[in-house]
Amino acid sequence: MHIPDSKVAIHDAKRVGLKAVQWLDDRTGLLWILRHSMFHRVPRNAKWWYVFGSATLMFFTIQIASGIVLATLYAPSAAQAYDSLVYIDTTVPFGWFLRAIHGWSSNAMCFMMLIHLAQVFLHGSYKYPRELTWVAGVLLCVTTLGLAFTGQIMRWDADAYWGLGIGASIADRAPVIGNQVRALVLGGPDISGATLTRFFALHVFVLPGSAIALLGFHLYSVLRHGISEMPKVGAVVEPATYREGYEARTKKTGVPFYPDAARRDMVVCGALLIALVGVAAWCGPFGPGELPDPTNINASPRPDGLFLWIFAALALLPPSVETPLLLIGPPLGIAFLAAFPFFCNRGERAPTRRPLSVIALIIIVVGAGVLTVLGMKSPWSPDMNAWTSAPSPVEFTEHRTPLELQGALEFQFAQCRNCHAIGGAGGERGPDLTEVATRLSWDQLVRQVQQGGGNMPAYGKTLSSAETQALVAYLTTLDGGDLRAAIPGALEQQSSRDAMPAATK
Amino acid sequence: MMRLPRSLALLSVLCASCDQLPGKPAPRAKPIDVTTVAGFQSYYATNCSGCHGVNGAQGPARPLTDASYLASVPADAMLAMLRDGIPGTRMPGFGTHSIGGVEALGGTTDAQLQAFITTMNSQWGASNAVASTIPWKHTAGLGDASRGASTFATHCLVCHTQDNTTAGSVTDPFYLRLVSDQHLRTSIVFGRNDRNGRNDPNGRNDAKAAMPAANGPFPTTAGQPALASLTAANVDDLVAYLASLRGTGLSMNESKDSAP
Repeated sequence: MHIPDSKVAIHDAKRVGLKAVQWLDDRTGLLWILRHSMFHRVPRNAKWWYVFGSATLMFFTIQIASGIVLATLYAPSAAQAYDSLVYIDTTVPFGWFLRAIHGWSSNAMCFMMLIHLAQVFLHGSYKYPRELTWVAGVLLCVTTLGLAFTGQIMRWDADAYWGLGIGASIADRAPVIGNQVRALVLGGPDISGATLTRFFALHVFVLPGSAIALLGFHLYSVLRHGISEMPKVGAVVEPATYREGYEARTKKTGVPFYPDAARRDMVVCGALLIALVGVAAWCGPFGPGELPDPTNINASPRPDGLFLWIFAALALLPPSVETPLLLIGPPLGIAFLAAFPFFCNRGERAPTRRPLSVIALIIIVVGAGVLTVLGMKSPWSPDMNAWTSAPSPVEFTEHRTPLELQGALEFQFAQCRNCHAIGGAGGERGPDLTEVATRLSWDQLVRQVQQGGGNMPAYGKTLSSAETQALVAYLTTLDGGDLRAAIPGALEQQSSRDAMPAATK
Repeated sequence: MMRLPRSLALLSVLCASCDQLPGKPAPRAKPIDVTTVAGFQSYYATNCSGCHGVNGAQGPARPLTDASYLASVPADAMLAMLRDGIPGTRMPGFGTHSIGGVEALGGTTDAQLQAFITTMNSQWGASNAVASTIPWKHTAGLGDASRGASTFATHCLVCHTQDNTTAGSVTDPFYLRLVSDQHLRTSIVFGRNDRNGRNDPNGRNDAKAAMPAANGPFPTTAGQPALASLTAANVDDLVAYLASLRGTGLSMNESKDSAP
């Protein structure tokens, strides 16, 4: 029988290839690792609940790849950082898309990571023997949040600048070592070029390096201990017998990770990847926002979505507890989270048998959600443009006397509108004044305008008597249309009062 | 001819269309184009609507929809007002520099302000509007207060009573201390056709006529003959009369409020 030359060649090539693989496996054990990680048996009931970790891993991979490319284009110097981002956005082909992918993937990674964390907590998967897997996960969580924060600094715009300023002032509050900590963070007493290079080093070397190391351990632990089964009421974790039982069960009813379980991971990761590309193409990159300008008092910097809840919590905390909470809260919280499995590493895993854990999780999720929404709206910040851009509602300027109209002008010009809304437009820092005339009498309005109080500055020194008179005359017409007085003395005619200013004639 | 595989063709179309993806950032620092109506409206909404009203009228400050006013104020005077503000009043300057310590919002070039004025005239002016025969600009020292008092009694007092019942008092020293003579003159010459007076404190919805311009028609009490238009001399006298009621002992920063 004649064998064609081509077939011989293929046969030879296969033989050489096989030999090479065998050599590599002999020296490194790579094949064994690959085989074990792909075909190890996992519990059959491990269904869609388990995809979040893989999704986080996928986004992390995207971050590494897109981050490496971005690092080749980005200039980490204070003078050039902003311009290099504009260059990437406008000149580099698809540069903006790369930045969009990196930015959105970062958010998606954090989001998936937090869901993964919540799911593991909810299912009690941190219990024996996976305590250290959990600890590595908590550290990964901190590292990832650090990556997100330092990434925001890379934009070197107003948000980054003021975000750093706030971070530095928090560090400054530490007793005794405050100054040193701030200098360590900023690379000097102030935000400067040294700050950016410092954060660049953190963002591209220190934090990703730590994340890769922690991730390696995290994945190794997952392979070593196997993924946890779905929690079942009555299936109590008992360190003495758990491992034996788990191995017996997976041997008997388990399925190989590939393709049975990996299939779901691939479906979810594929869908998320498509969504990521779509969102990045549609919504574009994050920033860079305005250039930092310390003379611009209208800047209202706010952090990226992930940190909005901290922003809101800081704004709403009473000043007296700020320092202790800022300095003690985060380290204590992280330490508690990491140490959690060491207090309770046995017992029931089913959420229905762990009501305290479920309630705590609900409180944290709802609280963070509410604070995030508040952070987005930030009603405590004045609306700095309202005084020129929020028109006086016609129903509140109609049928007013010339003096009252001057008061309406004063209301805009003195920027009352930046904190006080009327007719649904204006800042939300102070109370809505649409119906103020029903709540305060003439004298009370004069006192409030001149002396301030309740978080309102005093305007006695900036407004003249005529300006105050006009302003209060206008405010007493704000009765929300046709409402009745809520207090005695409100809405009373004041036309004869102080008609002649003492200084005239 | 070689044919591209269909998938490759699709890919190249996709790549070519990527340049128009909605996420692509717009080029930086694009100034608002106030020559377009949309650009004008957005500039107006951000910077002017707070005082001059949502559509150029019915705000606390002078309506800008008054075609006669727009026709009467020369282009260079209008540009100066927008650029430098009006010292001693609540009108800030929007130009690239400020004059006389007026708070300047700044940042708008002369060319842009010029374009803004052009678009404003085409939006709110009227091609057939004629400039007022009475000079729009105030000149100090022309009028006579006692003659002004009698003109006030015949032409103004019907609505502008002391007790604030109809249109509200304009002889209130508090009011007069907050407005300039130019403000008084502009109000008398051009009126306020966007605004209704108030009827009485308990029935604001029963609107009276808008504030008439100098050429009337002026509201009269029932049965009285119609009033003649105001002359330029009448206006000078009225401003002088009202200015004389302002009083002298101004306190704090009021000297700037009641320029000149």
